[in-house]
Amino acid sequence: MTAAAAIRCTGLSKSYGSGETSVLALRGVDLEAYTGEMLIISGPSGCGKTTLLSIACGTLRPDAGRIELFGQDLGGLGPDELAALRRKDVGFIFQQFNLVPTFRARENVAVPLIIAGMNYGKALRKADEMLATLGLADRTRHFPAQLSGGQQQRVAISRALVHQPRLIICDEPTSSLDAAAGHAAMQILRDSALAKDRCVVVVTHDPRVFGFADRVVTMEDGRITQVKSQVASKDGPTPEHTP
Amino acid sequence: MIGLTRLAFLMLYRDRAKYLALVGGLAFCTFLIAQQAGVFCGVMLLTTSTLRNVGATIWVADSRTEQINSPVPMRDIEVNRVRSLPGVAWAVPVFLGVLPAKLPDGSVQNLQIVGVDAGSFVGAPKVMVEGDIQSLLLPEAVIMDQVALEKFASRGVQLRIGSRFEINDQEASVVGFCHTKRIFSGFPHAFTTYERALQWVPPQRKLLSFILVQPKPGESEETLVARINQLSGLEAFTTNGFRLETMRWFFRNTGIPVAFSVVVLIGAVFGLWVTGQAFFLFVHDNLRHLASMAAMGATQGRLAVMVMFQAFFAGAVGYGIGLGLTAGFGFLVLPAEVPAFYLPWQLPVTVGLLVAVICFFAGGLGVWKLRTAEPAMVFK
Repeated sequence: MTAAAAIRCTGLSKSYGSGETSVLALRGVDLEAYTGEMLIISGPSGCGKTTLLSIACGTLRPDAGRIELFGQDLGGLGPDELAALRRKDVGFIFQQFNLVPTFRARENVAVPLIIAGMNYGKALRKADEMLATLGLADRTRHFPAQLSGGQQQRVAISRALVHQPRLIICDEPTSSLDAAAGHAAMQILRDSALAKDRCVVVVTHDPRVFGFADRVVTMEDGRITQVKSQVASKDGPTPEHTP
Repeated sequence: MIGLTRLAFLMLYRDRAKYLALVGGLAFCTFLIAQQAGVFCGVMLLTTSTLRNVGATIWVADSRTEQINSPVPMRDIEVNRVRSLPGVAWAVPVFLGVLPAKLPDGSVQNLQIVGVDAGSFVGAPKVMVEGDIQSLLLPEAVIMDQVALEKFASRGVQLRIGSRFEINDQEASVVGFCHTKRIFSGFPHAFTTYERALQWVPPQRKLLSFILVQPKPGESEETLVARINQLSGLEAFTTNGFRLETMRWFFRNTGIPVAFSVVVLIGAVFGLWVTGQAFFLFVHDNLRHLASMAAMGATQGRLAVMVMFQAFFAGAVGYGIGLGLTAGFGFLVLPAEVPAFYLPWQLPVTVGLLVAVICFFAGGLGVWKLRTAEPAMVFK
């Protein structure tokens, strides 16, 4: 791998609770993710993959270990500095999309731009452009409830990409979608990673989408048990990846 | 921050059910507090209407008199004693008392009799609607007010100039009509001369209600009041002092302030409870979206400003509607003056501050809830 490291985790540990109820979610995890790469993190429920994702994007602090985002050590940053870093460099796609139901599609997409301080009108225009590139030009003024699951996912992807972040974090992006819509969503993310030299990190249970990834990391009981490099297909999973 | 504020507005405004619950609660609370306080102020104003209807610079009363509506009678000779005091330009007697009027149909209507000095007409009606004050010099003459017209008309008697009826079994003839401020008892006014009023009243040794005094030019009211109190053994008041003294009496001796205070308190508690709860639920329901914004880089401080803006926006709209309803109520009742209603500028300001406190509390609850909106919760 010759690309620059977008994420570098070294010896990450994290536990929840205390005393007898304490649960060790991560046990000394080392991982790197690179620009121009799509990395999938998989594993059974409770294996620590979401915790790893949260720490990797600076929304959660580890108990031990070191985390670097584009060469910057997150351990030394305060909450506002971490927020500024996420504002600039990280785009999010959440499991349930997390679109604000009272915002139109364009307003949902404009949120990261507005948070970054862009003028409201300009942010909406940018959002319209972004939605148009994902084939939603005629849905910009629709509310989430008026969109199909696939369309909602494309709005969520637009929101993650609109401010041109260097890292895209996806939490179960296909769990609420049918096979075709999930495939289309992953294809957009895959294209985005390749075209803009971004790093896309996806946490998923869905083996149908593994074929999109450059590497698939498998976790179990707070540890990485397998890292599988593969040649991802430009057009999605090869037949052997599709169950 | 303007963009985020706009998003906060959309988040609130488009969640119609919660928005209407918040605004409705605050509007109702504002209306309840402002309207009840307005009626209370109106009632308090009624208690001192006589001060405005009669009008004098300084009022002198028996030292046992506690308020304008229940004078302790004095001897007539007291007028001359006051006149003789240094600094007094003039002093005239006035009679205030309630006497029964017998209507042609045999029914009785109590009247607030005001007997004024026939030489100066000090204390006579300020606003004549028909006839003139000089007519009071005619035999048996009385000037009636608009309340008398209403009350008599409600019993089938259309009062007009020349109408005759009995006051305490003695003839009275209407020579004019005036407009007065309604008084606490609700009785109509009948103005006549001081001497004639004394003829209508059952004979007593003391009948003088008040002495109206004007200070000499250059003499301050407060100085003269102090001098009268010191030299005459009577109790003198400036108009404003007598107004305050009367209101204090009502505060001390009636349940009116307590009754209104309870309603105002209920309004405030209702507003605090409903708004606080509705807003807490609103933030709770949007917590995941706020956490998403936090994950996307919005700081806790900026999210807190959004939440406070939402609370105060709902507060401003609710306050506006509530105050509008209060003003509407005022316009509805003011022509008839029933119930009494008075909305001094201090009242909307005070209610506005109270609503601001409620919004601060509700917004504070929201911000407190917001503390749990960790960015990482969006992955749970």
